[in-house]
Amino acid sequence: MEVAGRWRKVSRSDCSAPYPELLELEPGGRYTGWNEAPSDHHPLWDRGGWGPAGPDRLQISLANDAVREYAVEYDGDALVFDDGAGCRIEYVRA
Amino acid sequence: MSTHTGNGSAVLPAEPPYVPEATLPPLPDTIDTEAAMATDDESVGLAVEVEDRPVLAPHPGPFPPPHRPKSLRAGCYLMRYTPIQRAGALQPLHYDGTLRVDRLSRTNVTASGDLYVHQPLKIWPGHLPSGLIRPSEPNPALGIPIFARKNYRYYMRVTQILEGSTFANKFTLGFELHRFNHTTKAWTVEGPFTAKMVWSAAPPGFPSSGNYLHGEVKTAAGPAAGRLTMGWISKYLRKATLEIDRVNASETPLDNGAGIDWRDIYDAIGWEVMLDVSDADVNEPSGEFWSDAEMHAAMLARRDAADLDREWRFHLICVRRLDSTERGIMYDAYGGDSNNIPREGAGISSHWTIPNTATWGKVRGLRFGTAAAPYFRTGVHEIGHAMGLYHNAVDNGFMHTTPDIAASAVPPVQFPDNILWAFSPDDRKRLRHLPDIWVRPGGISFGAAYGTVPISPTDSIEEAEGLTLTVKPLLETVPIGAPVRVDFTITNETEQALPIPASLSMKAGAVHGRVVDPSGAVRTFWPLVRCIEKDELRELEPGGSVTDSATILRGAEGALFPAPGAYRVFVDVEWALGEATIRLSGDSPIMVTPPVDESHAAAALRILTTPDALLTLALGGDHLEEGIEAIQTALEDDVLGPHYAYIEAKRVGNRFGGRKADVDAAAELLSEDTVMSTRESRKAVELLESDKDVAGRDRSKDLIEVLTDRTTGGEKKKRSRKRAKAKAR
Repeated sequence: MEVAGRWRKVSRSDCSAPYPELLELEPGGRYTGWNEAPSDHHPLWDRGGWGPAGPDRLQISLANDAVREYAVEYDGDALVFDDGAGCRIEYVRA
Repeated sequence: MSTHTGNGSAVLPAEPPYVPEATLPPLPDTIDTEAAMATDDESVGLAVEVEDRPVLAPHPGPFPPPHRPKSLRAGCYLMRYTPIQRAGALQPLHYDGTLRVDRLSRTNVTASGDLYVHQPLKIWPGHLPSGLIRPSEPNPALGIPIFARKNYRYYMRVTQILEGSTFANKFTLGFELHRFNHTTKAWTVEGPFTAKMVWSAAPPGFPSSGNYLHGEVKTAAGPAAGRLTMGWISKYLRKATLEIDRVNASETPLDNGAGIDWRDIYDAIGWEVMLDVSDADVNEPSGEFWSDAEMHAAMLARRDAADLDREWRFHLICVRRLDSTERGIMYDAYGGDSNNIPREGAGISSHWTIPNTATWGKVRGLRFGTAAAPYFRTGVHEIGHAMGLYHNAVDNGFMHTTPDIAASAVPPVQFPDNILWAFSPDDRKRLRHLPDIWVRPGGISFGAAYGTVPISPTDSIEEAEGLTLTVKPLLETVPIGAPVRVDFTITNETEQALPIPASLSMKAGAVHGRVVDPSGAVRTFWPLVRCIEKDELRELEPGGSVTDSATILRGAEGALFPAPGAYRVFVDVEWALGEATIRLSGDSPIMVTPPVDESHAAAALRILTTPDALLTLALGGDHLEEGIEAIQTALEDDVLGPHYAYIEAKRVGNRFGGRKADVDAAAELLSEDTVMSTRESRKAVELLESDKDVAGRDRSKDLIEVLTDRTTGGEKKKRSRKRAKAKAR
């Protein structure tokens, strides 16, 4: 998966609200997530590390420094994270 | 060399607009105060105790008492707000709380407060004659009080502190009250309010009798809303306890291995933190690795106290390894909070092995618990999360992430030497001024945004339109261990005279600055000694310019140029003009070169590790033996000698105690090769000319001519040549 790059969230579900509007996955395994518009939530992914965690799985560190694994679907222009609790967070390349 | 012009543009990036009824009220602005504070508080921040202030008695005569600038003493005040009782209210009600006054400079102050309801509790009729239980009042003699979370009601956003610069014994406090809804976690703005606060004698129990004020609170429309009292109780702004427990195999992170400990860190943000190094035998429930739930359970079982309504107690547990991450975690969030009391604790891992790669510099391959600096830093970082802070990449301070700091080290500086042992300025402000309910354990859950809250810009600072400040180093390349000398010039680019500080000497107090090292770490420098009568201004004529110099070596955070590499020196000139503070900034790059031989390396090490070297540089005198010895070592080195010759010449050429000035010895130290700033060259000429015998010697005459040329840009020589030519004709 060549998922490095900048991604924009398209999900508008309540459960996806804590995730950042924009996500920059750097090739070196670091990332930055941020919101452009005011939000009640600080981005769950704000700054930290990311990397593969097996086939179709990525791990990303959270704002409290925990590292969480996600099942992902990737087709080049879309990246969908499944948090394992029924929430899908969809991003498209920005 | 670059120039920053005062074009009125914002110093900080634009902030998003504040949205009312958001998750958090806006932090207070930095407030420009009216008075010059030179008489009682020349320090920055909270470092210096201010003497007890005498209370001025009402003046009986027809003439006002003499001018006496007054200012609020920095620190924490016990505050009581008693609103006018509503008609029909059955029970008296008031609010207790704390007001935090935080001096950023002599003329800027940030203040904020929190109010907790204090209302008699109803009991069953007949148990007491009144039918009411009256909760006890906080005792001001016991320092900063802790109030119950359920009683939290208001955040006080202070918007105005016009401290009297006249003979008035009062000032106007302007503020908004942001009411907190415990159910929705939203804030509702009430106000604005103003209160004419009057200094008066403190009631018994307050530790500072002269720092007590009272005033009537009014709404914007004018009607009285209540009464406010505030009495100083502590130089700190907030109070907490940090308990550290560990498993037997883990280290306790007590300091960074280089003298910085928990107290130093929290003192710097104005928190009085008691360290409770407690259990060292916490059992491992399932082996080496710990889950978030296991750490939470261990905290509940092993911590020494648990009443968060009487004590802000944070808990750090040190275990061998963590299930959910490598170095550390603030587990009390996002589902890890089994008792639904957020942000009580964090955990760090002592047995994670640092990758054996160049990125990790001096600690590569080490077990984390044995790498004192990053291990301790991770503890501070995680407790920072427990205090409500998020990651912050603005500098290499505590809330930046460890791998990013490691990756940012620029050789020859290696991780962890590029760690900035401080909270970034915006995080420092958050810890000082965010609402109690945000920072205290058991308050608002982790994950709410500061988002809609603009971090207050320092909007009372105004850029000086029409003035520019250029910074030019005397030498663009200096050897390690040498002080850096910079000239800075203010130029008036307008067609009208503009006010600037009368003196740009560091001692006059208007000039300070910062140095950014190759890894991005920022170190500040401030006047070591201030000689201020008042903020005197002069007019700079249209097109005119004025130049001064600074010689810098150490700052508040230690040596300013501790390693070879490319640095950037920023000079800030700041002065009060009416109710505003005006600022100019300029900067220049400096290259620090590595030692050329053993002698140079030894001398540089001596200078860089001797704090008194700076004091000797700035103050002179014979009393700082270590400083003098360090400078002697530098003088004996061929590389550093020319950089320190003037400093030693200044010392020996001036009288100290019973020792007479030895201008002869001073002259012997100086030559055309001596590295001197413009100001130092001028002073050297004055020194040589102070002794007629010395000044009359040919060597001195030549040197005086050379130095005079340097300070006048050769103008004197040109004039002399013109005169000679005219004479010849």
